Amino acid sequence: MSTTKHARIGEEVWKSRVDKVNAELVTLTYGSIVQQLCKDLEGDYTEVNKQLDKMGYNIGLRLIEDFLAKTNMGRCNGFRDTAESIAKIGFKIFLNITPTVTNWSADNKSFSLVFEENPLADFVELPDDGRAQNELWYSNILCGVLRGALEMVQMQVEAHFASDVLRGNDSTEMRVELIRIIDDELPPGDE
Amino acid sequence: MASSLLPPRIACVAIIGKKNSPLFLSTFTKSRDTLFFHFLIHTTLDIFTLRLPSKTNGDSDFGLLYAVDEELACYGWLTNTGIKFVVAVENPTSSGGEDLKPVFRALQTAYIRLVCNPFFENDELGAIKSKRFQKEVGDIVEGWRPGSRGE
Repeated sequence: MSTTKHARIGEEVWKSRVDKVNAELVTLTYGSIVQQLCKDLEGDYTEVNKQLDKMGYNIGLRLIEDFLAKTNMGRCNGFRDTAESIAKIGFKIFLNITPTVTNWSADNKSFSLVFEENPLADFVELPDDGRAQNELWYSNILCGVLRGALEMVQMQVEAHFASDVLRGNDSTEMRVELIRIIDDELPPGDE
Repeated sequence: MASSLLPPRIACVAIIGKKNSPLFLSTFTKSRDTLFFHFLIHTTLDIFTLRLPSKTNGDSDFGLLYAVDEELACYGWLTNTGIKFVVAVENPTSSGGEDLKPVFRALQTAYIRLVCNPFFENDELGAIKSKRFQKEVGDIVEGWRPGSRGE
């Protein structure tokens, strides 16, 4: 599928088949989740990242069903096609943003998503405690979502943020790497 | 008088909390020291209290609070949540209050962005330390052109 086609599907689904919700509601809800995690885990930002990722993973496992139902997408034609679908359809219909797919590795197994805007991080200024700027990945839930969603369609990926404007970087970039395609295994113990 | 030829300039921006605790104060002039402005802003609080009962038109603008002399005047803005914004202007003009409306609106927007930050502790105990907010206020002050009514 060509990239313009992805964009068109994303636009169409966004317009006709998605219930909209107030942006501040999402931003503030996510904000209080992250803030509460930071408090509960007493500023252990590595653990906060882990928890956010785990939450995202559980969202992704479910969200993929919704995604497939809304878009009527068939199988992707290779990992590049998957990347385009994530950026132009997935992010479009759920967050109304379209990150740029870029920085492909030579073996076509990993790419970067560069976010021009990030509705989760509106208003946010990381705590000035000298550590959050280096340790916390504020939007880490998104990594988990991708990991969970792709796992349900037989792709094991590893996703992490490489930079974030909240930390003072120039751009917000997520790195996604395909680990392996999960074969449809026989149920264990079935000999 | 020579000073009246100088264009109006914002000398100080202050934010005061619901319980009259100073949340933020930033000065943009070298002609007077910061302590002077702390006193100045403090005295405006009485005027807010005094005028509040007679204020019926429902908007936040308190206009000119008072003029110290020909060189300095204070303008105020009070939100329904009790947050007070005070701007002190050097070399004020007679229409200064009207001119400052966009400034107050921009300040309020910046303040909203500040309190919407999930990591912001809205406890009125500490002063506002946010660097982003500080910068935004600086930009608003720098960008102010008296006489323009634009946003």
